[in-house]
Formats: sequence, C-alpha cells, structure tokens
Amino acid sequence: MTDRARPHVAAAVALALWAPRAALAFDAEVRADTQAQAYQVRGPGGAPVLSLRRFTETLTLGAVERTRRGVVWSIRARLRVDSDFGSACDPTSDRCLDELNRSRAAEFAPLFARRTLDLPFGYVEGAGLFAGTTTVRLGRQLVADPLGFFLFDGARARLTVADRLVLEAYGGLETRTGFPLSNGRYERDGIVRADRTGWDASLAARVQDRAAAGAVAAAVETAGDGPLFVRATWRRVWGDDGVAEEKAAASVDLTLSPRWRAYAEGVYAVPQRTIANLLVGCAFGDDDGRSFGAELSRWRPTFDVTSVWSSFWTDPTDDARVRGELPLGRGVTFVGAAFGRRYALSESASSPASVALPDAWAGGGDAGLVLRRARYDGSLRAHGEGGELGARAGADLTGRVWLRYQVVRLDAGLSAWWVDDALRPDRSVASLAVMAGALVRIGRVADVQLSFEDDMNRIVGHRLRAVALVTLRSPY
Amino acid sequence: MRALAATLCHLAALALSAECLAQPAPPSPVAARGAPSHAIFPTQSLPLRFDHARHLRLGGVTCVRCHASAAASERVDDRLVPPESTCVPCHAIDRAQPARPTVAGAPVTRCDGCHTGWSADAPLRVARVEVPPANLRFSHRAHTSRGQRCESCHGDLRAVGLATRFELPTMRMCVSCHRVGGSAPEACATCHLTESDGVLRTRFAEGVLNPPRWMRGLHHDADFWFTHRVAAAESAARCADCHRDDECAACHDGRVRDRRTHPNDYLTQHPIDARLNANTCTSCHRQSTFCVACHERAGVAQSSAPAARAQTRFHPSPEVWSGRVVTARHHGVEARRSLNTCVSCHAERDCVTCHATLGAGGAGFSPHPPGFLARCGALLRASERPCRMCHEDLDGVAARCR
Repeated sequence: MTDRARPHVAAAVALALWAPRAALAFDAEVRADTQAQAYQVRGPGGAPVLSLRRFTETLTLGAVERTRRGVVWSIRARLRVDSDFGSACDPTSDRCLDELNRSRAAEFAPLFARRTLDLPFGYVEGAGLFAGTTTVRLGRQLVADPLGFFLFDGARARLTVADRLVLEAYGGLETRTGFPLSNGRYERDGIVRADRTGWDASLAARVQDRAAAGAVAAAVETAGDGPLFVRATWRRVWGDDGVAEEKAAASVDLTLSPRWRAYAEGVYAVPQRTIANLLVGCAFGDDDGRSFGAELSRWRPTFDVTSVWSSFWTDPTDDARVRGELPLGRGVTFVGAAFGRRYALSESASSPASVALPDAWAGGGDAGLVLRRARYDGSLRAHGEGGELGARAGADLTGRVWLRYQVVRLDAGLSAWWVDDALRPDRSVASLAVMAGALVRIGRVADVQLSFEDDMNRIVGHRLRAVALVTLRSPY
Repeated sequence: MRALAATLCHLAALALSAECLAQPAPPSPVAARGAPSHAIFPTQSLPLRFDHARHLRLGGVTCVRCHASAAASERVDDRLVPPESTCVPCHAIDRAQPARPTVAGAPVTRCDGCHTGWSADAPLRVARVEVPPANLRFSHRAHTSRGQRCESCHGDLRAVGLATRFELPTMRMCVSCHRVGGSAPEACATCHLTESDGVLRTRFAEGVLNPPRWMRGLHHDADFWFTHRVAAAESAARCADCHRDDECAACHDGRVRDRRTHPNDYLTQHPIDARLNANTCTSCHRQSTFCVACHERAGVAQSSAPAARAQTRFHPSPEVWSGRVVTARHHGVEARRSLNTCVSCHAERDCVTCHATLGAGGAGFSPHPPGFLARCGALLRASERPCRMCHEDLDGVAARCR
C-alpha cells in the first residue's frame, strides 16, 4: 500500500466502522409555542397588586419510525419553561415584596417560582408489537380515563386479546411537585408540597417536603367499535405516609341504534368507601345534525387519603341536565342546555339532636347560536344560573373572520356578565369586556396571534390584558 | 306534456330531443343527509348529462363496460370516469360536427347531448369534469379481488341518473367489514391518511374530518367543547387516533385562559363560579397546586405571607360563618358542600386548630360524617397520618374504628 493510498483506506475503514448497522428512517416533527401575557391582579382585601408578566415556552418533539412488520416506534416529548417576571407591590408605597427570599418570612411566597422547567410528557412507544396485539409505552405519560387525569413516570402496556378485550396495566412513580422537571398539576388535592431543601423547618410549615409515590393500575376494556363498550379500571398510589389514592371505576357505553346511545360511569374511592362520581346519560343524534342528551350525575369531592380532608364530612352534589342542538341551516346551529342541581345537605344528619339542614337548590341553562363557515365563524351564547348560593348570568358574542383564508384572521368579542355573590355582596358586580385580536399564519410553519382585552367593572375599573402567542412547527 | 316527454325521454333508449335537453338529470335516490363527508370525498364538478339507469337497462351494459379500469385500480387518484373513447362505440361523436343532429333511434351524437353548458360559439370547448381524489387510501382491486361487487359500495345505479358523491360509500358502510372481528382490517389508518407520526390527518383543504354521529359520542358537534368529557374519559385511546397528547395538555394544563370557559373579567368573577360549580373547576385545576399558589400571593389565603395578607375579612362575619347557629352560610355547611373550595386557600392546620380533639390541642369539633366509625378503619389502614394530626391516642382510634 502506498503512502498516498493509506489515508484513503483508513478513512474507508473508519467510515465502515462508524456506519450504522441498520438504516433508521424516523419522521420527526418539532413544535415550539411561545406565550406571553401581561395583566394585573388585585386581591379582594386590599392586598398587593400582582403585576403578572408571564412567559411560557413549550417545545414539543416527535419522531416516528414504522417497521416492515407493522410496528410503529415513536418518541414524544414536551418540555415547558414557565416564567413570571412580574411582581407583587404595594400601590401606596410602591414597595415590592421579596417573595423569593426565604430569610424574609413575612414576604416569602413558598409556592411562587420565578421560573419553572417541567416535562409534561416524554415517552417512547412501541405500537403493534407481537403481531399487532401489544402497545408498550415507557417514560412520563398522561392517562385519561374515568379516574381522571394521571401523570406518572413508568411503563404502560396494552394487550389486545382475541380482538375482543384490551388488558391494560401501568405503574411507576407519580409525577409530583418538588422533583426536577415535575409539577403537581395532576396530583389530587389535600397536600401542598415543595422541594424544601435548605428551608428552615419553621418556614411555611404547612408546605410538606416533596415525597415520591409509587403507582400501580390495571384496566380491562372491550376492543373495537362494537355497540357495547365497557372499561373497568383500578388504581392505587402510595408513599411513605401510606395510601394516597385507591379508586376503582367502570364505564359503559351502549349504542342502542345509529341514533341512540346510553352511557354510565361510576368511580368508587376504596379507603373512603364512598362513591365519588356517578353518571348516567343518554344521547340522541341524527344525520340532520339534531342532537339531544340527558344526564344525571352525582359528584362528591375526594382528597389525598394522607390528608385530613379525606376523613371530613362531604355531601354530594346531584345534577340533572338536558342539552340539545338544532341546525338552523346556512351553517347556523342552535345549542341549548338546562340543568337543575341539588346540593344534598339533608341526606345525613350527625345525630338526632343536630340541626336538620334542607337541601340547597340551583338551576340554570345556556342558549346559543353558533355559526360555522369556512371563512368565518361566530357564536352568541347566553348563560344563566342561580339559586340559594348566588347567581351569575351573562352573554358572549364572538366572531372570527379570515381576511385572507388560512393566512390572516381577525377575532373580536364582546361580553357582558353579572354575578351575585350571596356570601360577599360587595363582590357582586356587572362587567363588560371587549376583545380584539388577530392571527397571522405563515405557511404551515408559523402562527402569530395577538389579542387585547379590556374588562370594565366597578371593582377593577379597567383590567387590560395582552396576550401574544407564537407557534413554530416543522412542516410534516 | 313536458312531464310526459321527460318520462319518455328517460325511459326510452332514444336519442335525446331538444325537450329532453331542457330536463334536469334524475334526482339521486340517496338523501342529501346520507352523503359522505366533503373532507373525505371533496366536492366534484360534473357538468354532464348522463343517466346510469338508462344505460344499465340497455342490453349488455354493465359497470365494467364503461369503467373498465376500476376493478384493477389501486390508487384513489386513478381516473375512473370513462373518457370519450368509451362512449364512441355507441355514440357516433364527430368533433368536426359538434352539433350534428342525431339520427332518430340512435344514441345522441351532439356535444350538448352529454356536456351541459356546451356552446356553439366554442364548439370544441366543454366544461371540465373534476373528480378530486378522495382523501383516503383505497384500492378497488383489493375489494373486487375479494368478491365485492360494485353495488356493494355504490348502491344500485339502476335507479340513479348522474352518479355523484351521493353514490360514494359512507364510513358506516365501510365498517360493516372493517371492524373488529370483521372480514377486513379495522385499524383507522387502513383507509384514512395519517400524519408522519401516525395520527390521522384531519385537516384538508375541503374541510376538517369529524367522527360520524354513530361513533360512540365522538362526533364533534357545536357544543363538543363543553361535552367532550365523557367521550374523552371513556375513549382516550380512540381520541389518540386523531389527537396528540399535547392537544390535551394545551388546554387542560395550559397557561393561557380559554375565554369560552372563563369569559369576561373571570378573575373577579371566579369565586362565585367556583362556589356554584366546584366540580367543573377540577377538570383542569387542582386547588392544592394551581389555586393555592395564586391565592397566597394575592393575600386571600389564610397562609399568605403577613405582608401580603388581605386587610379585610374574606368570609362573612364570624357570627354567620362560625357561630353556633348553623345556616346555609355557616362554614361547616359550605365545607360539607364544597370542601375543595376551602382547600384552595386553607392548609390542613387551619382546620385542625378547631377540629382536633381536645387532647391534641383542638376544640374537639368532629369534622367526620355520620357513620364514620363504621368505615374509618379502612382510612386508618390506608394512612395513619391524618388521624395522627387530630387524635392524641391512635391506639384508641384504632380500637374504635372498624
């Protein structure tokens, strides 16, 4: 081998060694959303004025590879930076609170952070494994079912058995406040947590230190789009303080005919031995776009079992609701709903000697006209509800029109609302709001949206709010 | 007389007369409401005068006689509308004589016999037939090779004049075979186009794909924004066929308020909405994370830093809120009815101060519901922490609880 040939041979060997064994053909997409908001908030009791200057940047990544055997491998992740550059200041002295300074206990706001970085989800998924029967997902993932949203770091598998049933199991660590890249957005209520590393023990003692919690769940559901869909699921979450949640739920959806369906859903809180949610409903919809639905529901709040709230007395709220939709032609649809509500205070009495409380009642409804056309859409909606606990009513008129189709859109809105707060009459108020905005779409790559809002009422005078949204995405 | 002429015209395999040319094409037997989606089968332009029924009544005329390539077609963009050459064997078309009168009893030969809008001023120019390809993956061959007949999907054309979008199949027809346990694959992507990451492509120039009404409450009607909860909870996997996780997160974990659910000056008005409709707030907000952080900063919460705390009382007067006379405005009643609104401002210790037992430093007001002793054992076994916060004698509690 000559000296001149030697470098070329070395380069060829190096290339051969470094070359990938199998070609990967991932389709990738990237999306970035930037949101900026500015507005002011003032507490009802003469507290400092919060000047919020919020900036949120979200980056979503996705990559997919399909194999010849029909397996689809995908990676999906969403990363978010949420910042608030605002301040809490006393308008009379112009002095701003040092909310982040742990040495100033009188001003310290333990749950406030100038900037947070979190991962709303990030996982690898293999779909269509084992002859198309199995889907496996690893990483941070969100589950939505009758038990509610649940975010965790772990593994989830769905197995289709004989084309009839889907068996599902998942487990891992619940995503909780205080850990890196985590926020407690989907944690159940009851315990307030933060990363207390470096905090004095006496500082904000109500805030618990972060605590990991394991989670395990199982579900079985019917496969496909047959007339009967059933899902039964169970989930348990536990940590050092014991079981934080254990619930079981079932939902049934029965298609009675091409027009009619009936459905039901129930959630049972196991340690509390109580029904947390119950829902029974039916719906009608025909090919002319007419639809009608009726629902009966019961809801009772539940809390983290490790908190004192889980053993407190809670009464259920019962709702009866009907809704309907009627196309009026030319893209206009009438939508309407009405409900009656019972705050069931009379179902239990602590003792024969205790005060018997009557139920509290409320009712209300919506009516609206919705216009949906390709180049413009709009709606006029009115809502009213009231009862022994207070009342609220209002109407919103909104419209959007494409000046240049899918390129430039103008948005506008007008809103008038009134609230009657029976507990705090001084907070009862009528309010008028106007909104104007625009969206500019730059191909399939970018959306730029701006909106301004002026809310006018006796309490705040004028509340001005400006929002800017910029979305960038890689073209598919 | 005109009606009789029209009837004769459509029934007889005779050359079209001037009277016939003035008649509209026979109506489609399929009602408009049963038409397939424009997002799937885009609007067509068919400036033609044609009667399938008349042709099919002629001896020897079958579907494949004119649509010869349809059975072997494997792509949706294959052009399956017969070209003029298909007509020529029967129709003595002569482009040099576009207005040549038709011989009595023979098939029409004039251009305007078939092409509506034909004008003698531009005799060789006719309006273009436009049949945009469906926004689907579809192979006629895959269906015909498995024994499917044309009428299985397109209906009985013997009663149809000009075939339009109404003679194209709807999804409901497809799923009679494409379903779990059916004779054809049930996966959505078998027929529907997908984005690069595998979710269904739903936005087309002709419209947005919307699940059909018969599909388990998934149809996105005008009020779906407010009613999607049940469908989403039941069928999250089905939602994921078209929607990515970030679409849920964008609203349910969003950072920009949606005006449809939070109209007007919602910051000022939200307490009454939360009080009346606490159950709906929890679909997007957790009081212990979302609400408390803001209430503390705004000075509303009991746990607000002293320098930020409100100078006036938020709740009704102590006599009403915590007096001996229990009315609907008493804090105990409010807590029973909507405890999670309490949690949006208060920490556990705020309640424990009074509700702990006397021995544990509280005032001994029990917060437990009637019959609690019959089920507190399960709570105690799940977690001792809450019991320990209020009870000094945990062994005694364990002995009483079942």
